[in-house]
Amino acid sequence: MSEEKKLTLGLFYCQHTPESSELDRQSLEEKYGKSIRLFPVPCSGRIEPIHFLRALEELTDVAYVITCPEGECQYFEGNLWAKKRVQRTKEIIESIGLGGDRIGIVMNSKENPRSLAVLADEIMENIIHLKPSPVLNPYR
Amino acid sequence: MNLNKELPEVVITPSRFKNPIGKYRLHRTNECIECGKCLEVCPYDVHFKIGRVRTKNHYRCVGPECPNPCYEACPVEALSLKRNPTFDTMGDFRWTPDLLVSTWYMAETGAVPPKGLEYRIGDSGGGFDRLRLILPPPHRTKLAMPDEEVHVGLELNRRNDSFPKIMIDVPFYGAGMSYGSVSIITMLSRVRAAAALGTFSCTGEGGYPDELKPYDDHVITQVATGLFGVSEETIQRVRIVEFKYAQGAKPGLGGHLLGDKVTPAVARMREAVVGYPLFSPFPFHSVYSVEDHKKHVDWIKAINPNALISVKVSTPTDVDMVAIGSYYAGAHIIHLDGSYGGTGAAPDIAKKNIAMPIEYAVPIVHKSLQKEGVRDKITLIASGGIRTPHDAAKIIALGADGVCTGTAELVALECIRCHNCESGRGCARGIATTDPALMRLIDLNWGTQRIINLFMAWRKELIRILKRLGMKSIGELVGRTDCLVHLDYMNK
Amino acid sequence: MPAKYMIHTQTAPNRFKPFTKSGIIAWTEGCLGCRACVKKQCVYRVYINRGLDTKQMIDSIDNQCMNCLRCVQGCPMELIHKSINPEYAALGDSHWTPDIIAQLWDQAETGKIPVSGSGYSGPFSGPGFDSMWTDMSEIVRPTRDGIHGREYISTGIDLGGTPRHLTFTDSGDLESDQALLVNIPLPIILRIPFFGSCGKDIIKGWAMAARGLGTFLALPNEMIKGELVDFKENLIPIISPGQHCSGDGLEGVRLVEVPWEKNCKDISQKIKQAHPSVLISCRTPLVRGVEERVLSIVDSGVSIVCLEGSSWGQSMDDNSIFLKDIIRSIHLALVENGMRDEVTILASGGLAMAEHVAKSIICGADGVVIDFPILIALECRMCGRCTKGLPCPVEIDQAEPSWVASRVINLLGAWHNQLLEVMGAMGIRDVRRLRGEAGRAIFFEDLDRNTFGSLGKIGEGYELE
Repeated sequence: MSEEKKLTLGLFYCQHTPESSELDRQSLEEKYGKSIRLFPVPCSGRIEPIHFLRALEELTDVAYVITCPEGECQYFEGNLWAKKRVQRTKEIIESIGLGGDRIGIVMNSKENPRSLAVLADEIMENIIHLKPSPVLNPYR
Repeated sequence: MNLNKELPEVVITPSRFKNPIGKYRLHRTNECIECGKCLEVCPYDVHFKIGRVRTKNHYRCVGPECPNPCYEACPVEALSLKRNPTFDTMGDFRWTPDLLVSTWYMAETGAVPPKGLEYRIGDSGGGFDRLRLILPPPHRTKLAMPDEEVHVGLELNRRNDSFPKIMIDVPFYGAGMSYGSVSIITMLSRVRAAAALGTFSCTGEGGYPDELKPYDDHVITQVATGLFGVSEETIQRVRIVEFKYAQGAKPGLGGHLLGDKVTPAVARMREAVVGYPLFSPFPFHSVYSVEDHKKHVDWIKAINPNALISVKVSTPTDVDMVAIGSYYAGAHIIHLDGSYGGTGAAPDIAKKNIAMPIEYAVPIVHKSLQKEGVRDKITLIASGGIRTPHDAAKIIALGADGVCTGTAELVALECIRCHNCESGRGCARGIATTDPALMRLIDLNWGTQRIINLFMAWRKELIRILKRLGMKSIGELVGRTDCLVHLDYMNK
Repeated sequence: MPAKYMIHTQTAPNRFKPFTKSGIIAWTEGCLGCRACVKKQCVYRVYINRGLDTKQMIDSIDNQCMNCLRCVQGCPMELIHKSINPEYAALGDSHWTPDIIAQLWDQAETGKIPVSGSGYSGPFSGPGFDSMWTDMSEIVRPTRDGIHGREYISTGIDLGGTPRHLTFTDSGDLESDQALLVNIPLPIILRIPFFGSCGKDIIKGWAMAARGLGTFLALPNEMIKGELVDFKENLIPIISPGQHCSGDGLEGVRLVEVPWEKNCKDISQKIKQAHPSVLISCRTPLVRGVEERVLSIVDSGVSIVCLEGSSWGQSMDDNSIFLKDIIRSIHLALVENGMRDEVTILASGGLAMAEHVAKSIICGADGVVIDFPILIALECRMCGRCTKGLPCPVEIDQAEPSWVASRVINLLGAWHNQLLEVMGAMGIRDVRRLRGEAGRAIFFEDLDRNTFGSLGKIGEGYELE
């Protein structure tokens, strides 16, 4: 039963995140088991509020996105827009009383780029205090 | 003597879409102080000022190869350059995004791109893409010779028979594309460009639409296995008739026009039923030997004693025998269509695997025609993957007299090689479609000029190559394999 | 003439949205809200029918987009872009490429052969089977219209060997045994892949497909129990190495596979004695010196040899030697020794596309054994998660047997038609005549060197362009 209630994270990450190959992704899945769902995206700016909301509704307790460092986006401003969208989505879910910390964004740094595994660990650390989401569809 | 007749004019003809796609994109942040420095330094008109200073023509940007980069000149670092991710989703190994965009550039400007794009070869890792022309050191070439003195025309009838001589002014003509597989506007654009350049364009096997009548002298009509729309009248209208035995993209398989594309107009032209798929069989059900083939040729010659006969075949292992047989059957032109050629629809397994690439077939046929002592009595035309003027020069050096263009012309009309010509309403870009709404995406004058520009760029490039090689005519290049090197065998 | 062999296919929809090669990136920031927005004008209506599959976070616009780029090129604010999809790029490996996997999914779903517009888009040539082309007959040829049906092209092969010569008694009666042969209408046998989350239902589905197609499914002997016993006629029990087998439990079986090992001769003798009507196939890995080994296997009276290459279509001990070359040399060794018709040669290992079937046969095999394609038909992504104990991303083990069977039948229906295309173009009407027809193929190594090998001399100061 306790296994069932383990906090789950849906993590979208920019495909240019260091060490984020399919194999790296699988090692993370081995490490975290069912607690993590990983989605590489062509650009973090592709993630719209709908992705976060639907993820929280049907997929995981928490949803995060990792972007490339500022100025590195292949689409110039995708990561900046991702930031704004996360902010906007936070407001939406706070307004329904779910707690804005269920979603988040991590921007990688240009000077000290971190690998997918390190970033995932950090995020896991960050959200460990959260309780399972009350809105997540239990019949998913 | 000026051997070249009056040439059509190159008219700058930009993309018909708002955002032409290029290899690079520039980004301007709000830091921009509108000083206009970028306009000043850019050699390629990427930036402009109408009211505000803006960046619009990203596609003209040559990226890091730029001698005067705006993003370095900008005093407030408001400009940055990135490779365009959309660019990398386009094209494939044979038609790389570089080749697509540089062909668009040629169709717009009539010249090869200045920098930043590989416009000569693709990325297939073999054949043309591993062959290079060997050019003598510049001081030993005839660069000073005026372009007018370089003769790139080609005589198509070399048999010395009772048939007329037909000289084309460029060493290429348009390959068959049928009414139905491409729109009438595409067809007309091709044939009008061919007429302007003093060459030909082929109808393919879907009949001979009346709209082409004014250009009869520049039309090759095709007699293919389905005999769609073939009549005595159409054969008598033209100066060249082409027998299509097989097509490089689907050798041995015949043609297939999906039911969706058989609109009332297409059905009328092909004497078929609307909405039903049309199969053109393989092979000619009346030809099972070279003797039968001769009967066919004689039949056309009897109907039109003034038309040259071209025989289009693909490239099996015995392609040399087929070519020699065609010569003895009375053909003026033997047209080899290599296995990597274009098509409106074909099984992927056939496109990839059946028959050999044109780069192998041409030298085989060239040599065996020489051995037979008839090489100078027949014109050898190559097609099937000739994408650039460099491909054309290479295949001529391998033994062809000239080439047929196909996909390159469609790319000039902004084909993007999405490979969906055959599905649903056909080409979403209005090129290979019979859907009236989609067809209207192309204006006939625009299409004609784009192809003229492309051909003019090819012509200019071929002349430049010949001059570098110290040659005065394209005929001198035929079979000159010493002008080629294959990178895989270099210095081995 | 036998009744025409047809494979009846019917659409078996994907259970999961397939990954697409590229995706759309459309910003809303800066949108002018044009009344005639390019999204509304999409020819394929992808923006109108948009939906999000939360299971895999796949946006339906990517699945429906046909890459015409009209929206990308039409938006006045340049807000729409395309990008390579990292999920697609991560599929499979360098042999089981994303394109091959996606094409297998598609064939398994529709049963149709892959057809597309405009010319070939791949590399000039490549390793292994990609370095050969097949022939066609231009003018002088017997057969036409393979697929569209007017003339019958047979794809059936006989499994088993025929005796070198017949012997008669003094009174003139036939003395030698009647050759033991089993005919399959398609030169393709299925085998359980060595990984994949395949439960009981999946195996049952594969067995149903084998029965529906009239061919066989090879699987470890110990798996044949329960419901599967009913499918024995279409199953090939594989005897594991070292396993004692006296032939028990082989009633009703037509073909059995034994691995090559020191005592395989004894095992086959025992099986032969207990079940004279059971054909024996000996599976040998492709390693150095395999030609000699195959000759000795045939000499010992085994009439089917299954050659096992690596799952990348190479030799087991040298990845520079490809299946196509080993098949050719084994075939030629058998021909030289006058033994070719005493044995059926089946090729396996890394066969991923319909063309590999035709090419294996041209190189000298009688037929092929395929493994991973029947798994990929079930939407497998070749990600290998099941080998690490991770859950299968497409929940293959949850699939219904009937769906499994349809998917595999669809795939092989498409392959069958593609084989007909290749044979039709060559003018060959019987797949048994295709065997070893290397003269009707074009080999890159020979032709490329012949054509270009001498083009390599460059003078001082010359430039390349």
